[in-house]
Amino acid sequence: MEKEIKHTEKTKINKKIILPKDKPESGYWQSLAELQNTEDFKKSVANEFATTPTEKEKEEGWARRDFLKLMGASLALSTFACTRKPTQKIVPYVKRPDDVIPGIANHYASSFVDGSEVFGIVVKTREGRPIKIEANQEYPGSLKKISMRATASVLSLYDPDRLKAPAQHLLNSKKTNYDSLPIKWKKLDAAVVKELKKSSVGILTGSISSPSTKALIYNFKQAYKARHYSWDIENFDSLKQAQKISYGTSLVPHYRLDKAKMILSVGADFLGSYLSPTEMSGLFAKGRKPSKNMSKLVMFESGLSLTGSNADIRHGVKSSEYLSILMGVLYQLIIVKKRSSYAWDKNLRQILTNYNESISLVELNKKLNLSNIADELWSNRKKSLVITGGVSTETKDSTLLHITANFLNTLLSNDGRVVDYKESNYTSFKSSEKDLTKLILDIKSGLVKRLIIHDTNLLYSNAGNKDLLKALKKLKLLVYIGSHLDETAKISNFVAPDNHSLEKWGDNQGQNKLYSIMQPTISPLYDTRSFQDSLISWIKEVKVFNSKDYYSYLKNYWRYQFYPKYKKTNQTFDDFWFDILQKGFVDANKNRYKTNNSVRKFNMSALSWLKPSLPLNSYELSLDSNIATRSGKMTNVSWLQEVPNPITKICWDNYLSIPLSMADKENLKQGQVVELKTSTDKNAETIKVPIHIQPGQADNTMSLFIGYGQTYGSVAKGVGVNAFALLNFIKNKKVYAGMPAFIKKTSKINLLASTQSQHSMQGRRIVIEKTLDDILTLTKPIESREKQPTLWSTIKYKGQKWGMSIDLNTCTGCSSCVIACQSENNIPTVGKKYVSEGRSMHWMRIDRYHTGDAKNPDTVFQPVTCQHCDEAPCETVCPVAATVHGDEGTNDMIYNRCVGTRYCANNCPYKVRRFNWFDFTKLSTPLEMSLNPEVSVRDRGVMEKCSFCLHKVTELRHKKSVDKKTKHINDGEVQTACQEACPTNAINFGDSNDKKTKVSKDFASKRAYTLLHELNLKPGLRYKAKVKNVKKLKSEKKSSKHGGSSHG
Amino acid sequence: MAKRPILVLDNKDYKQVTEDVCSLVETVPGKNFFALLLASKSLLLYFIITMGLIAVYGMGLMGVNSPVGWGTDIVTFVFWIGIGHAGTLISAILFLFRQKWRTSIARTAEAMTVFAVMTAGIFPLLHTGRPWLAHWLLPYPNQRGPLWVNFRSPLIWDVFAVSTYALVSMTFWYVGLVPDLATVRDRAKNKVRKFIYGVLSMGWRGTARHWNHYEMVYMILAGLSTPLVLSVHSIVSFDFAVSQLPGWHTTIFPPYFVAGAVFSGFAMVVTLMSILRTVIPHFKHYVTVNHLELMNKIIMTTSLLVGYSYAAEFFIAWYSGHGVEQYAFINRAFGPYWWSYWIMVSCNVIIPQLFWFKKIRRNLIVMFIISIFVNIGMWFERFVITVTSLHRDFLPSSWGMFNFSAYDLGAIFGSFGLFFMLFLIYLRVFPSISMSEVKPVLKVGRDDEH
Repeated sequence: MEKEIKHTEKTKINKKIILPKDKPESGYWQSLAELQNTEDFKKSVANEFATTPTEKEKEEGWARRDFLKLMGASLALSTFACTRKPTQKIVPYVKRPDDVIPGIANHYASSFVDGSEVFGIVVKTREGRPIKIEANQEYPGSLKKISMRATASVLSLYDPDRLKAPAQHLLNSKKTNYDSLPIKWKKLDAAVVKELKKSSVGILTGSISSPSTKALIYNFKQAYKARHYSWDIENFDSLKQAQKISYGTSLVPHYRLDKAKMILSVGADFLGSYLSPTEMSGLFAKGRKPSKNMSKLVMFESGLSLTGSNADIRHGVKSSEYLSILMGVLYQLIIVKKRSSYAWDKNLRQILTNYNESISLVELNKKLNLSNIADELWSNRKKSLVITGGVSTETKDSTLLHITANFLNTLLSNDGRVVDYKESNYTSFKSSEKDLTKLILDIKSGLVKRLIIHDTNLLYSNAGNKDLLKALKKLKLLVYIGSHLDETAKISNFVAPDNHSLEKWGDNQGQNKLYSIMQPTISPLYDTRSFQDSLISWIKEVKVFNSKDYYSYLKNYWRYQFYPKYKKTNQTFDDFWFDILQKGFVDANKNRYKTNNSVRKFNMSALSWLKPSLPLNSYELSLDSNIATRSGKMTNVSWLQEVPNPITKICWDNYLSIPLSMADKENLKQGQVVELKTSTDKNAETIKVPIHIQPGQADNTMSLFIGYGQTYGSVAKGVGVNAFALLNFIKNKKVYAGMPAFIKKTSKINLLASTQSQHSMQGRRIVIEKTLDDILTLTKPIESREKQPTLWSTIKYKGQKWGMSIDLNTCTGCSSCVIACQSENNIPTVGKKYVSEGRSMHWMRIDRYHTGDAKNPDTVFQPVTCQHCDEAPCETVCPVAATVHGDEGTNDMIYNRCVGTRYCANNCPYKVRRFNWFDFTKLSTPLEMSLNPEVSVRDRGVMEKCSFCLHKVTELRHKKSVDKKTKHINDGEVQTACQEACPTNAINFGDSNDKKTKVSKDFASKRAYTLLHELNLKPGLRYKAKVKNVKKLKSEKKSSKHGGSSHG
Repeated sequence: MAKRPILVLDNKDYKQVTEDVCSLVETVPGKNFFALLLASKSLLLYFIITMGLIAVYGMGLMGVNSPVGWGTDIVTFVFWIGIGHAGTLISAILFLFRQKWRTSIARTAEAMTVFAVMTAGIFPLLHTGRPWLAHWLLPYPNQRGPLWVNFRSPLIWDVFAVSTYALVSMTFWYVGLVPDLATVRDRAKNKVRKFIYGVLSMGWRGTARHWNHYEMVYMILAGLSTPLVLSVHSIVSFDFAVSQLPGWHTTIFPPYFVAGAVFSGFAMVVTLMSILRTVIPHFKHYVTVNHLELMNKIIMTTSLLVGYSYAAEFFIAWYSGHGVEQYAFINRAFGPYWWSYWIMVSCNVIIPQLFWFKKIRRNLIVMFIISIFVNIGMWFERFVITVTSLHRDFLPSSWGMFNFSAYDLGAIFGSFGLFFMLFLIYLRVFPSISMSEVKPVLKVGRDDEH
């Protein structure tokens, strides 16, 4: 079926020229000659109007008209390019690929693993390209939500810096210089297998959540008598070890924050970066409904974390004091208040008294009021929680810290109830620091000479570990299976590029009896092969193996492992498999989040390990993990680099957070670069890092994010410094926190790109915050100030009118919505320089304000996007009517119409309009494949802003009007990108004309108010006031003072 | 009746006036002139390159950002439009009020107006994100569907106000030139000159009928220009006043802007006249110290008006009881841009008060320096209004700083290149003093009035 486009119009036109016909058409004739129509007459008619252009003249040379014609033509030809319009052949589908309808998106269920989190995802593809990752609305694992990193993983598929083909590295004997040669997969396999056959093989992976991959690695181990090592940056070693010591089993428990009425967190940033923040944010938000049962969160930490900023009560303490704080609470319960039967345990009393002698827990109580906390924990026993953990708690005593927390949970009868040890999210989490230590020893002793590393950039995350580098250089063969030419890949002999997780098959275990499938949604973009396929092709060389590739292996695994257990009655395997692919997972535990478990017996001898943890006299450094970039994977994704940290509002950098007191004492300025080291040793690693002065940072402490300072990738390279170089090793234990820190000032200033320079609300009514008591006794709407009068007559919206509500009480500030919005709406990233110049393009931004004193302030968050004012100030001032009001109450922006006067942005009191200062649409190939075709990209010089995802409304409405002959969209049928991504369901979107919708109910709430209420702009977005479970707000202490404090 | 001061010195007769004025047009300029022209052209080239790069790469090269959406371009636009006020005020309003001293400065002041408006006109065009689509701001029947301009937008009013002003002031200026161009034509000694000035003078023969028509047209145009002097800057001020931004949203803006415009315009006239008097010696006889003193008096008066406006803004902000409004003004004077505010106040309110002293009013060097200060001060007034109001508005989260760059410098200083180049060419092409208007105010033949 070939169709050729040709320009055939000419011949048609020629036909229209009237030529003398055989008979006069009209029936009238002028002369006899015409009537007879002789040949002579025909000739004379042809020449009737011709004055010159006759054959006769041609014989003499150029006729005048011909000459003029030619002149004209040559002029035209000389001034216009004279190429012919090329013939372009287009070929329609002979057989349309199944399921691909151009213009209609397809959704595929799959799953995504990120460190300790497993998400059920739905991949939205358009014409075969994955363009957005959304949560699988059936998957029970992470409360039907996904993290911002999962959303951003779609961009990592199109990362231009990915390894594109297998390569061999020619290394010299020192393994320093290298030259990369392309190599065919076959040759690579032959070379690798030849080496592997010589035995002494090791394989190092991260924690593996895929059951079939685990089995496959077992096959590989058998085939080559290989040793398997499992290591991750975050291994949760101290947590697992403490569980083992306290209760006998090494596991990662599941914290059911929704059941806890009183939560005491010591350094555990469970809303930001610890364990499974997405799910825990959702659970936490469930307990935060403003009622008598609202939970209370008390936080002790050194740096201000996302959890700390959401706490009702927060104290800044040193990381080395963490253990003493838990001991202090225990002291109050056991010694002072004599609670529970443990109060008569002599051993315990002895341990506590001894501890009190070396570190006065009584003094600590006076300082931090631990007695009240102990009372509240006790009165809420069975429904309270003591939680600790995360990078910033990895002090030298972190295991003891976990043991004490475990004991407190047992004492308060939380174990089995709030601490759910059966329903572990991380049943598959088996990596440990010991494996790495063992690997180094095994290489040294010659047990491992040939090593395969899968997707673990060892050299980056162990930058301070010189033994490791030495050991890896000793290897005879190093094969790296990963995605980028990173530090580890550079010293390997062979690089076998792995598929992206959207390009390969796989499966994952999310929770107990919850297995999800991973489907490829696009065929590999480059000449890459999945890790599992690489293993299979190497196994096949030495052993008979019945699976020809990983797909058949995976299918067989499911056939024999899961099909018999989880099939429906009389279901064939093919049907079962089809169901799994469609649904994305199999869930065999229907009682998840419902039942309580029995109480585990606490091993009292565990407490004998406890010994006082003395605070350091010097400054203390704690490393921490940033919510977007975490431990350094996926840092080449520009979205994750540009989303500002919720607390500091800084992006594109890591920095040394120091308290105000230290800045004063050491005379340090914001952005000033210091030389930092964590040991007095002369050879100790020193890094140069800029200062950030952080309100709420505990005195004499400093915080620094890991995951920066990569040496590869056009995005990540050169962003920040590698903090892993600073790790301390104490008794073979990696210490991330409570390290002694020594700084040396330099005169250099490194500008930190921040999206928000102000910390205070300047005494203005922006985020309304109330105590729980105030909210429960609220009788009239929270905002009742007088409004400015208006001259316009109010417009009535007859049909549906779109509105949005954002509950500031459940919003944790996690910024997931920012990334989801960016992915949905093709929002460009602009880079550090332009962010610092105020050219950030995010449509959705999270405003952060501090209240109270700068030493330990309260923090509030407010997501701000276009408020879709009914009386929008932007609309009246646009000279070309490029921004107008839709008939469903939205404020629409017409990009093509905009000339870019920026008057609208000036007149917008919320400053939500974003201008294309440069051509931000130029993306390096293949990043443009990630663009959503439903939303146009914006030209240079054009204003843009939030559209309330109106394209989603339009798409669904079109579908409904065709399928169901209705244009009405029911509540919840359209979810905006931000709403979909919000892990705490703080955002609602819907028809505010219909009183039954969620958004209308939110609007009617007494807590609801509009931002800048006094301007009377009638926004279509309303906020619900924040509630704190305290007696008195910090902001009220200085309520009379106008202005508040601002610094930084 | 008090005796009027002599308007033209050195007992000039008609022939001498003609010789003095026409000599500039009829002789080849000296090296100094070409040096000045070269300097202005270099500046202009700098301007063209700056603006070209901005048009090619984007507005992001300049200091504007979020939240400061308007910056140097708008500041400098208002600055030049303001300067463009003195010329029409001198030639139209003073004409209607029969102020005879205006005759010797009117021509040049008007030329200044025309060139200042031309310079100003470039800025709103280039400050848009897509300057190639700027014609969308004009309401003409088009093929872009049913789309039309938004008449509610002050920017549309601005387009009309500025273009009307430019057209009328140019016409007014040209009509005034016609009799003098005819004089140059009549004196022409070669054909080319005769032809060019013949065309330019549009067949002027100086008959009584011609003079009759000319006087009528001139009067009508003066009448038309007078309200425009007030309206242009009022409407330019609407760009700010109609918005709801604290610091912009004030009813005092129209009179305040007009006073400021007259203030800056007269300062620019004094600057130019001081230079002209030094460069072209016989100008001293026409633009006397008396003239300059009169203008200095106007500068002092408008300085007081502007000073009053500054004070009134603060009073109203306090009186409004509106926290954000109050903060905007406190921030102006004491925020991060305090220096720009105090430059403005010192240059515009404090320094011109020196003109209370007659000695200073008549001292050429001092008045030149003061006029430069006023020019600087008035640029900063617009900077204060535009930038400091925008950089901190309602939500502290979106507060930021203006990101001044080298391209902003190019826009400011480069525009002087365009202005001075046009002005220098004008000096040598057009009679720069209105001969036909000066001659009637000479003493010649009026000895009885002594």
